[in-house]
Amino acid sequence: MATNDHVAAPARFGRPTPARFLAYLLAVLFFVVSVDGAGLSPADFVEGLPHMARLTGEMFPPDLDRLDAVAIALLETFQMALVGTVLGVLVSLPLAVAATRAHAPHALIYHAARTLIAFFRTVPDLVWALFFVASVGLGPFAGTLAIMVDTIGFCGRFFAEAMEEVEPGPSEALTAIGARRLDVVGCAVLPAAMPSFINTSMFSLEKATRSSVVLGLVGAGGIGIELKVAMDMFQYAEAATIILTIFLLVLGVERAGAAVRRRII
Amino acid sequence: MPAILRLAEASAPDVARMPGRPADLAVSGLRKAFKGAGPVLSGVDLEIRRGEAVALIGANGSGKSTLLRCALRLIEPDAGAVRLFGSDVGTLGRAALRRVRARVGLVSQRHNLVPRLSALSNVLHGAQARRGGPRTWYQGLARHAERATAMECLDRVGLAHLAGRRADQLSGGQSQRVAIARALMQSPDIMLADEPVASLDPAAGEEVMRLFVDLTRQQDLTLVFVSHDLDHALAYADRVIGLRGGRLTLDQPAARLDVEALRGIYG
Repeated sequence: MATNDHVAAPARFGRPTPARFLAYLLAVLFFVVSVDGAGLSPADFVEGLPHMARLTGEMFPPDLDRLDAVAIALLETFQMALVGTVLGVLVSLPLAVAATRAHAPHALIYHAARTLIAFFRTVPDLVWALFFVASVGLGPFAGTLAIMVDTIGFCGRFFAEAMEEVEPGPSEALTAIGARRLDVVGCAVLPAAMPSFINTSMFSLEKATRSSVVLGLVGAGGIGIELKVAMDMFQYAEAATIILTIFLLVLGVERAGAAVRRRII
Repeated sequence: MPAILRLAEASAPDVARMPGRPADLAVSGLRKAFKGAGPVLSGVDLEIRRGEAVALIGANGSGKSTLLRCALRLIEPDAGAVRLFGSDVGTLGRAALRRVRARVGLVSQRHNLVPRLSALSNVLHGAQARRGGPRTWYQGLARHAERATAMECLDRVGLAHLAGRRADQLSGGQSQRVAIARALMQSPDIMLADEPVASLDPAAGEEVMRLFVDLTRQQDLTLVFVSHDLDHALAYADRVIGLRGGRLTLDQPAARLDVEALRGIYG
């Protein structure tokens, strides 16, 4: 094939505009300043290494005396994560439909739904746990509510994005034959976005399982409180048992999630 | 002379223009321009009467698909009016527009099936034209009568044996047959087809096109199909309408198609 020798190849990299160059420079400078702000101290780290080794040594062998109590707390933790996630996913679905530009019944509803989801997502789950402990009292119910709200924020956003990215052809075909908005969503959008929904929901369950451990630290039920007490009482061997069981739970949920994704998607 | 032009000169079946019948689709002064692309339709007037089979031909960008989309108000025209079954679609409210759309079957080049659902569920979706609700979303939830009708529609396109197969596991020809079955499920009065066989190989395209036209004729439906295949236009249409640069430049019975005018469409 003939080539035109007079045409120069394009530059390997585009030359940034002055404004973009300045933005890059400011970003790098801010990172350098942030290293100081984050209190990074190699000296402290090195000095802390023997303490880490001593602490780790005290954790082994793990103390299995209270394994039954730990197992019950662990089950409660997973139950909180499961129920909170399922309820959160169920609430997320209609909210996510309202948060899609193409399927929201009205622009105001679209903006309200997006704002609500953003609010649920940006407030950390620990803050929600503090709020619900103060509202409904100590225990797993507060933790379940915190997980549910956190799940709505997480799934609401990703469900809406998945629906926005669905191939528009089938929806248009149904619109063209006079299908109602809700029917278009039910027939064409939800089935097409289902793999993404399942994926997001499984990630959400994994995330909730990890979160539910931490929520216990503020009294929102689960195994977190057991871990805090063990650490506060310097029962590092018992803490090791708790950490190992948490590890096994999270690993199990991740493996199960991966299997479900492989099987269904 | 190209083969297709020789074919145009040959005698095609002479079908009357059905002057006594009401117009299912009437378009007047239709204009549409897209940002950055300029005018696509520049004042189109046409009338298609009940029972007619019309081929809409023209080069790429001549406005054929835009005309069909404007007819269903899937896009808003800039000016002009479209009347479907006597109703001005531009002035209809949401519910009335849905009722008019329900009488129009639309078959597109890309089939537009829901990939993860079975052929049967996809056909069942055609029932949305009459009645919505979750029982028309998925075949497992469908009423017995509607499920049976959907199976009948699949049978008419020769795919009853693939009712349970997912749409994304069907061949291009099979997918288009399912799309036709979905349109039949709708029980429309007029069928619009936008290059229905363009994505299929010639053999499958011929087979699907023949099936499609036979089924619409059996039910005495009005048919408007966009095609780049002039053989199809001459073989399956009573009337050929040609667009060039967004203007209607040809409107003749297929049986008496003027070769010079046909050449002008693509020339």
